[in-house]
Amino acid sequence: MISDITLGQFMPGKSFIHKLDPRMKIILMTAVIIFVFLVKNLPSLGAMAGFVALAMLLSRIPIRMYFKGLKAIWFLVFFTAALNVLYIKGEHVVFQYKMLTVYEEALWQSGFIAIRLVMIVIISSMLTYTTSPTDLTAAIERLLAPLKLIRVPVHELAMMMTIALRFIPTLLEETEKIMNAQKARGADLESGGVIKRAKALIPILIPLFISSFRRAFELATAMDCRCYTGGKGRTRLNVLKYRFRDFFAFLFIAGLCAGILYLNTLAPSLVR
Amino acid sequence: MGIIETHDLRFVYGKGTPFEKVALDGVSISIEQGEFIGVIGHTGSGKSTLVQLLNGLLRPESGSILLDGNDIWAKPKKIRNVRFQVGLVFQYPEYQLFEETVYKDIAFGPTNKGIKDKEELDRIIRTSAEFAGLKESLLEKSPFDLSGGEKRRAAIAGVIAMEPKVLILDEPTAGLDPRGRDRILDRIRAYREKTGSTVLLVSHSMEDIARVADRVLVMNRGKVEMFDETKNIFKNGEHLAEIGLRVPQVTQVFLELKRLGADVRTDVYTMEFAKGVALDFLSNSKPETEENATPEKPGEAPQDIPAEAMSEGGGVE
Repeated sequence: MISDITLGQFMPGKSFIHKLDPRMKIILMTAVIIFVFLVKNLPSLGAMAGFVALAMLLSRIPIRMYFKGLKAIWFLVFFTAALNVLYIKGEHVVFQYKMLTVYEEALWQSGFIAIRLVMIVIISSMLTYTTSPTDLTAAIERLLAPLKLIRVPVHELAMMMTIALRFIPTLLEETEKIMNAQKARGADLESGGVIKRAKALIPILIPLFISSFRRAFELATAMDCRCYTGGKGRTRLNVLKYRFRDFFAFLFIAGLCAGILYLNTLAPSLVR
Repeated sequence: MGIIETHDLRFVYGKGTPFEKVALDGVSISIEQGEFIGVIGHTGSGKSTLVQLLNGLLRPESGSILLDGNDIWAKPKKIRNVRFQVGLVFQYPEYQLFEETVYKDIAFGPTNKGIKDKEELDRIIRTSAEFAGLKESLLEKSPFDLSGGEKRRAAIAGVIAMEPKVLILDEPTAGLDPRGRDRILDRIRAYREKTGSTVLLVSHSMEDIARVADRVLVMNRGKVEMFDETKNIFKNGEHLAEIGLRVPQVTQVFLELKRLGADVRTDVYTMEFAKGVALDFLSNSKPETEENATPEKPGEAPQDIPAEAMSEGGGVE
C-alpha cells in the first residue's frame, strides 16, 4: 500500500544520529557509501556490515522501518544478482546445465553486489529518517555554497529540494485520498492485466496532476505574499554548528574507512 | 435488524510506527433502513474513519460491520460489492473528477458496477444529475469548467449514480457559501424522500445536522458519545459543550432565554420551528410586555418580561 513507501520520510527522535549536524551526516554518509563500494573481501565486508548494524541500532528507528524501505528494491536486488550469476565468467565451475554455467566467482560477485545495494539503501534511508527536510536542505545549501562562485543558484536549488521533500508526504496523502474516492466509486485497482491496471490509474493521475498544479500556484502566491525574493540577504533562524559529537563521529568513520582499506589487503579480493 | 450494524469496532492508524493512533474503539451502532443519521464530532473524533470502515475502504482491527446482516469482510475479495451498496461521498469530492465531461464522470461508478446497457446507463446518469441538482446543459461540459458548488454536486451525482442502498456524505457542505450549502442539503433531503434510502451525513455544522437528521450520532475521541433522536441530543447542550461541540445557534438563543427566566421550549433547532415558537411566545406575552414596558427604559424591559411571562409562556405550544 501507499503508506508502505517510507523513503524520504523523517521520523523524529533524539538519538545520537538524529542529533548529528546534518552537514556532517551528509559528508559521513557519502563517505560510507563510497566505502561500501570499496569493500572487497569478507573481513572488510564484515566490518562494514557491523558498522551498518551499529548505526541502525544507534538511530533508534524501528528495524522494520528499514525493511519497509528495502521492500521497493528487493526486485532490483534479486534481478541484478540473478543476471550477474548467469553472465559473469570465472574459473571454478559450481554448476552446469546445458548452456547454463555458474562460476564460483559469479556467486561471490553477485552476493557482494546485492549486499552493497541493501547497505546503500539502509544508509541513505537512515539519513532521511533521522534528518528533518529543513535540516537536510539547509545542509545541502551550506555544503554547495562554494558553487555560488561559479554562479550556480545554490539557494534556489536547495529551496526546490525543500519544497519537493516537503510535498512528498502531502502528495502521498493526496494520492491515497483520491484512490479511496475512486475506490468508493468502484474503481478496481487490484486486478486485471497490465493494460487494465494502467488504465485504472487514469482516474487517479488526472486529479493528482490538477491538484499538484493548484498547490504549486497557491504556494507561489503564498511565498510572494511573504516577500520571498530568493536567497540574497536571507539569514537563517537556526544556524548550523559543529559540536563535539560531530568530530567524534568524523573520527569514527575515518577509522572505519582506514580499517576497510587495511582489511582489504589482508585477504584476496572476491570482487573485481 | 438494522441495515448497517457495527459491533465493537476498533481501528488503529499507523500501527507499529511512532505515529500510531487509535482512531476508533468499541463502536457499536445500529442504523435502520431509511433513516437519516447525522454524525457529528470534533476534528479527530473518528467520524471520517467510521464512514470509511462502513463502506469497506478501511478494514477494522477488530469487531465487525454487518450490512443487511452479513459481515462485509466475510469475503474480502468481494469488498467492491459493498462499496456499490454503501456509497461514500468524500470530503471535497470535487477532487475526484477526472473525465472529459460531467456525463462521463458520473458514468464512472455505474460502469464499474457493470452496467453496460447504454439506455439504462443514460437513464441512471440523468436521474442522478437531477437528484444532485445539475442542469442538463452541464452534462456535456468539462467538470473542470464548473463552479465550485457545481463540481461538488457533479461529484455527489457520481456516487448517487451507483444507486447505493446507503448514502454516506462526509462534510458535503464544507467550504461552500450559504446558498450552495442550502442547495446541497435540500437535494440530499429530496433524494432520500424520493428513494427511501438510508443517508448518513457527517458534518461539523450543527445547523446542517439539525435541519435534516432524524437521529444524531455524536463521536468523541474514537468512541460513541451519544446516539439519539435529534431533539434529545440538542437538549444536552452542556454535555455537547464539554466535548467541544455546541448546539445550533438558534437553540443557544432559546437556552439563553430559558436561563434568563423565560419559560420557552429548548428543543428548538431549526429556524422554521423557532419562528413558530417565538411568535407564539411573543403573542402570549405581548399584553404584559406593553403594560410593563411603558414606564421603564427599553433597555431594562427584557429582564422583567420573562419573569412575568413565565406563567403565560408555559402554555405555548
